[in-house]
Amino acid sequence: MKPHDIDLMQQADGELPRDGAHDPKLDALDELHELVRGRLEAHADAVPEARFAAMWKEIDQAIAAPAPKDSAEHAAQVPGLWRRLSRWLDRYRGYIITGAVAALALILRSPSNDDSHAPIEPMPAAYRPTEIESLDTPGGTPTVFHVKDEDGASTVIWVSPDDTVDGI
Amino acid sequence: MNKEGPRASIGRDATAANVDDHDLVRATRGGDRDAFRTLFERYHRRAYALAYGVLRNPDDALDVVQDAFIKAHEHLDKFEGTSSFYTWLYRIVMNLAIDLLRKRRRVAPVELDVLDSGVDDSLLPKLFGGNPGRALLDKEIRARIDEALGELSENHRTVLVLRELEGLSYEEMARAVGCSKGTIMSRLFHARRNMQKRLVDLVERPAAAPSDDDVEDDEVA
Repeated sequence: MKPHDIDLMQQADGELPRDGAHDPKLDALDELHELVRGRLEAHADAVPEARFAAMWKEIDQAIAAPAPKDSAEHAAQVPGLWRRLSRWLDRYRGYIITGAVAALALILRSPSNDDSHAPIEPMPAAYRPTEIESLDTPGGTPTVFHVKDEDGASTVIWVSPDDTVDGI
Repeated sequence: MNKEGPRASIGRDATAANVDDHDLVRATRGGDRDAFRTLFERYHRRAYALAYGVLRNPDDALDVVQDAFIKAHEHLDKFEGTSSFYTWLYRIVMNLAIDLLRKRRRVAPVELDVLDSGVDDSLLPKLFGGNPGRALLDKEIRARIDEALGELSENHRTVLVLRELEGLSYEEMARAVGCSKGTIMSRLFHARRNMQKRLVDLVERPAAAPSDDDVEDDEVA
């Protein structure tokens, strides 16, 4: 870009006072302005009025509708309960999974023998694993272990977080 | 048109042509849809010219104009009245048009000023002999201008349209497009330079008198 041309362009656009009044390049810029403006206005003038009349009908219907956009915008701005819960779960998923595994292990674990206050119940003749009808672990893959040791029998559900890639 | 009751409407009055835009905006805020219709009728073609200049597709341009008026109506309470209604409207049109371009863009745009860096990049001294009105009567010149506009990069074309159609200052364009004033000047310079370059082989050609073939038959059906 030549500095003189930049000056001329600024003069043509009213950013600088015109002092190159008879510069042919300045005249050419003015001409180009008229050509571009004239051409675009001609395109606009060539659109049949019926197209705009139909457009107005659409607009009129849209603006006559009672405030659905407000509620839609509100919904977009204020996330719903499930969205907020999902975000919270996403944020703390690692902790939740660890905690859930521990809690499940405790809950599913059979009573141990060292509870002196609990009534003594006879051990079943054969350990029967806890039945799990369904297991929903969003964002993770569950693995169920049945463990027997000296403290008794336990069922452990281990949830491995799925690998995630941002945006997929 | 107003179905909301017997509220007085200024929008479709016989004198609506003389009603100030700000009064029409005020009436629209009060629920007068006819007032908004008058605003639509005043500016729909101008808004279309802007959208078409940026998008180069009649249907896309019509969609953008429609969406822009709906958005304008929805957010009319945010129009502070410090600028004209049209200035506010064209910003909405521009934003929607630029958003549409971005959504459809599959590859990063290549700036022609980069490609042109090795060649003589000065402005041309003249185009069609200083009579653009006469030049526009020539079908070939019209077609060449359309072709040249279509070949500009989106960024160059957007800035050129904002300047030549809307007369925006560099500062206003920088705000509208979201880049620096220097970038605007560079884009505008190269847009003009590229337009001139594409029209250059018609420079010495005398503008022909209009003929029967030179009617506007290449526009939106």
